[in-house]
Amino acid sequence: MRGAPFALLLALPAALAAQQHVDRRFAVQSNASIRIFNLAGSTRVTGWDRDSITITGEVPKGAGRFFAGGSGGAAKLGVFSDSLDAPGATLEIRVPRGANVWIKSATATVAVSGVEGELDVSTVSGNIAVDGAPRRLATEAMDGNIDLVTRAPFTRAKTASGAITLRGGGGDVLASSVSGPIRYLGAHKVLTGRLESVSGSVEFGGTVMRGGTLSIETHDGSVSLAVPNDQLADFEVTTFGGAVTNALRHEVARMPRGKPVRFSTGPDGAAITVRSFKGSVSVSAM
Amino acid sequence: MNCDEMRELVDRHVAGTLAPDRREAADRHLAGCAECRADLDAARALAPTLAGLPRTIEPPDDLWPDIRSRLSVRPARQLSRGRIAALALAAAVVLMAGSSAVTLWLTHDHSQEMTAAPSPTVIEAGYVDASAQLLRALAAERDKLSPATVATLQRNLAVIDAAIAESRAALAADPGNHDLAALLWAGYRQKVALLQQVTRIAERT
Repeated sequence: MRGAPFALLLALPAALAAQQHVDRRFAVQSNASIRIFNLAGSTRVTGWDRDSITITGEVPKGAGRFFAGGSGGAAKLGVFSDSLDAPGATLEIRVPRGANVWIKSATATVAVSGVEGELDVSTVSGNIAVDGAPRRLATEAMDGNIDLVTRAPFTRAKTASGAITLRGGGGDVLASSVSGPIRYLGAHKVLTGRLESVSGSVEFGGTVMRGGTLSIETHDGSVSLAVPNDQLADFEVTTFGGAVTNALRHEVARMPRGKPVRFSTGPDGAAITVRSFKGSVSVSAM
Repeated sequence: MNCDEMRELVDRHVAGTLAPDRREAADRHLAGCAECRADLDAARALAPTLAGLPRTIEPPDDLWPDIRSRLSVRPARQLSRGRIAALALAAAVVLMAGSSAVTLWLTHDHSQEMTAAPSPTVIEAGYVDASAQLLRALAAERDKLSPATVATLQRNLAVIDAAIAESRAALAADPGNHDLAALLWAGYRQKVALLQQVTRIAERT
């Protein structure tokens, strides 16, 4: 009977307790699959060179129930709440660098660095920031901003009205937004790139590999396309209602509206297509 | 023939509309390229879905009032999680089929008599159907979404629907314009993708 009050205490939902300080650690494999939930507040995930997970943070009263479990190849952790209005928890998480990490949030901001496995981050209105070279990177927000500084060979970024900024980039890139702006500032060459918006502006500054493709489509967002002077590519640019400027060397400066304009800066290069219904299009050299 | 050229021909190869010499060149490439054979198999797998799409449809001029009314009224009966997942999956299949159909339509030589490319109305039907399925799922899950999320969805659907209406009107005036068609399908693709995204949010709430 003596243990009963203690057991009762353990059974008390964390949501009823005062602010909870979190400090947990456990071993997992270096390539473990790790699922992280934290609806509100902030989540910071850092890849490190140890085969273990550590979680520190604060879970305020009413934020929900903290949970962390798993071993070997899989782990699941986070703050679970049934309420969309729960106060935010702050979680600082370290995971093995090679782990495959899956993070879900609603309003919580999510920052990830140093993860080299697959990384999937999804929020509703929380901002997403990723720094590093995940093997495969997928990010999604409704109106949160997505800011990626990566060397991922495969990158997906999608928002409805948030801003997408990709720095570094390269490889296979898809950035899609309805009304938010898209900025691609690539330090690495694009093999397959697709940037698409409905009303958000699209800015591309980078290089497309030989044999690679870049497609930019927008309804009425402005398009700014800048490539290096030595970019070899076949260009096809079409706009129906927007103004067009072309400052690329030895290419057509005047583009008729509503008709595709095709020009080439050299053979055996990339294929670059820009389509806009009524947004302005600017093509220039970096 | 290289892989890039082959990728351009996959849909026409499946449809059987390649000229004999192009078909022969494609088959020669396929014989030595496992990756392109896999692409071809994937396109063949989608063919029955494409064939199952309706041949004609009269898309509504403006879906927005319907969307608004569906989202602003709490439904009497909620769909099960499995049913929502099934609707979302069905929408994803239609999206894939639509994408393939768009590629086929855009790359098809419409000047030739032998035609197997789906018409723009058939492609539009797929997207309209996918949107309608997802809207049904979302209407049933309305109370799982925060007011801010619903407002963001409504705002962005309005942007997309306005773009679709403009592109459709322009395409009606210039039916053979591939760029206008591509922009119209891009609008639909964005719409279905946005609805899928919000459905996923509702599912995990």
